[in-house]
Amino acid sequence: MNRARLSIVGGSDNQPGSRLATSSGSPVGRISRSTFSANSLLPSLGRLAARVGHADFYEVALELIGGLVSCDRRLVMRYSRFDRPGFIVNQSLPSNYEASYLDGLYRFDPLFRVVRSGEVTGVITFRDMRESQPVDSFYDEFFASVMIHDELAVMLPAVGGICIALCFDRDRRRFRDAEVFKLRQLYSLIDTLHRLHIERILIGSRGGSPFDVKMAVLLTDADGRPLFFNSIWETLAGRVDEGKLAAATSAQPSGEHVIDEDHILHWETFPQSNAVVPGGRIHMIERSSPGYFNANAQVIFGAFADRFHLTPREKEIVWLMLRGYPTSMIAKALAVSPGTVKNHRYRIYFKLDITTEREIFSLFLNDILLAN
Amino acid sequence: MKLGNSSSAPLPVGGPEFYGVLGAVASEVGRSRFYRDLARFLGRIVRSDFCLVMRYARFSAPDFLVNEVMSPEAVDLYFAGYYRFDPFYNYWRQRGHCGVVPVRTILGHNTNEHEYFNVIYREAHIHDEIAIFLPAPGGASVTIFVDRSADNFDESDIELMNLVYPTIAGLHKVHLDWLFLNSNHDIAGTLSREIPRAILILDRDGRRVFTSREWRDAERRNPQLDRAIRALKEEQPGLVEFSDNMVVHAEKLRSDFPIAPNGTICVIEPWGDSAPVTMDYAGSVNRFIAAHGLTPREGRIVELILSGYPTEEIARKLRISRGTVKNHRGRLYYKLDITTERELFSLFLPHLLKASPPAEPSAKFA
Repeated sequence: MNRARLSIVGGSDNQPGSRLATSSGSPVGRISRSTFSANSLLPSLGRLAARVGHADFYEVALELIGGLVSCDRRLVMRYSRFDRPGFIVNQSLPSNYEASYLDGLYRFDPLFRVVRSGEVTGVITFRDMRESQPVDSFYDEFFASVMIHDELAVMLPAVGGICIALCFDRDRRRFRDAEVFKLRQLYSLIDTLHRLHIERILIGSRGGSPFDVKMAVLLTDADGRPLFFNSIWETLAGRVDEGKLAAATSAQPSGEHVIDEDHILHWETFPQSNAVVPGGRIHMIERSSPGYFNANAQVIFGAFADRFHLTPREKEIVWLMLRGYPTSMIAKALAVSPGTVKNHRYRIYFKLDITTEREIFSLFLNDILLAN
Repeated sequence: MKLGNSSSAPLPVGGPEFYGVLGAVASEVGRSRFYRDLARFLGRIVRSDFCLVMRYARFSAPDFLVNEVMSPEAVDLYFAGYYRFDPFYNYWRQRGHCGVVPVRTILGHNTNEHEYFNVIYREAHIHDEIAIFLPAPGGASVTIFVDRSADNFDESDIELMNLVYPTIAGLHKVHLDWLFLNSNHDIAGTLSREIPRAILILDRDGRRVFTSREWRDAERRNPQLDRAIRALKEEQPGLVEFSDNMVVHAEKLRSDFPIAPNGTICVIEPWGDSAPVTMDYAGSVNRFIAAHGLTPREGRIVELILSGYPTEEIARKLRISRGTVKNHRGRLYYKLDITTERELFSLFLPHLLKASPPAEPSAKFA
């Protein structure tokens, strides 16, 4: 992982998220103002229902929910069991951010953590996720500092352990309970429309599929006859011994099988109540990618501080900076004046041979990725 | 006549429960309970006392998809011929716009035309009715009715129906797509009643992508059907009569129709007897009176009964007491050798239909 690639985090004028953005002027502008009246919502719901099975389903869904919460950015992400996350719709995250996320920052994404730890549905925010795992929130805070300040995600389970997240990001304010509550009222309806969309594209896809070229999909009916497979399945299926596959998948309703060090096959059976393929089966081949980052942050940070000969006080300050604390809050936390914190910061910048705060994040990110 | 409490409790649009209930309806897409649940959902929004779901075709008689309220006797009367006076049936065959249609907007200027249909409304205890026409393939409509038995819907009820219309039309479209997708993959077996039975689906290049069992049966019985289809390929939408009382008509499919985008659907339907009746009715009442040798006073009472007026109304209109009307009725029933009002409607129906020959099917339709 070279430094040049990572330094783009926070390196653009058009940067999202992070506290770093405050230094480069105001955000690009609110995407949406919130409204939650049936008079405006129902026509949008009608549009969404009409786009089930169509290529622009996720865009229309983003617009509908984006109309209910104000945010700075909207994204649709795909989280899967083995592969790294993927961008399905990215309306506003700069491409350098997208690249550094896929290069490794995804491993600190709190959403990625909760999806990998079990099936997640409903409407959740970074704040909820932090509260659900209060023991070590360093990486969550670090991710919020460098990438996204607060995020509200509508988690829509697809098939094969894939979860689609409609994400709404904010640079400053946190999402409030009242905003989350509104979306929770709508959740079951959006979730149902999304399930219909997934089922619809599995049969006779017309685009709009969250199963992009990196993921092989085979759908069979209850008798094992193929109903649908995508082009990547044709390419990858050659690596699978078909006799073994049939034996393995017919013995168990769901399971997984390591094909080689890069690829994993897994499958699951639809319930009889499934409208399109009752009792059918979905098989997927995914690339396996490194999972959620779990090395001890304190240990890595200790080595980092030693390397740059930081004093105990400087260590405290950098640790809080990495967790997204602004100068005023660092001063309060350490019971010193903001002026003192600023003086410390100059010395820290000198020791680290940097001129801006964002370079600290890049330096530290290098360390933690190398440590793993 | 009311549905169970839980399914008829009012459901304020946009209220805390609203989207959850709508989500539950959406989860029935592709399943047999979909229209029942959709109708109940709409009924709860406008405080309706009961709902019905029908399928109106281009040429053949309507079908009930969901009927939780009309008595078997009322249904019998309806199919015996009264459906031809059904104002909504007329509406669909003549104009066929989808959307929210309150009954008062189509009765409008010529109330007479539909007077005989009051019989059905009275049998079914329908006081006011809003129809929600949803498009179905082959020029048909799946129509949901919300009904009140004692009072009228007001403008705000109609606005609410218009507000939810795009959403339910979207769900309905997904539901129909499901039925076709299932038929294509032969998962669910035969097509549901929402879809006309004898259909052929061609892709945009005229290749066959689907035939229903009823279509294949019709093809075996009618060698001339093949020629009719070739004629239809020349011009669409089009209509060809290929044997006695049977027409085949072709219509373009939507660009996002699941198994044949921009293709063509051909539907076989009977026509003729089922055409809506649009002629003058006074003659048939007079002939009925003459045929049974009724006095002028009896004739007037019969006329009012046939128009669906209850005894009190008749008494008021004729400025006589209810007892007198009842006495007249007794004599009338004796003369006609009947014991119930329903028998009177059945007896009158042939006169009515004879006086009103079906319209020829036009060569083309919009």
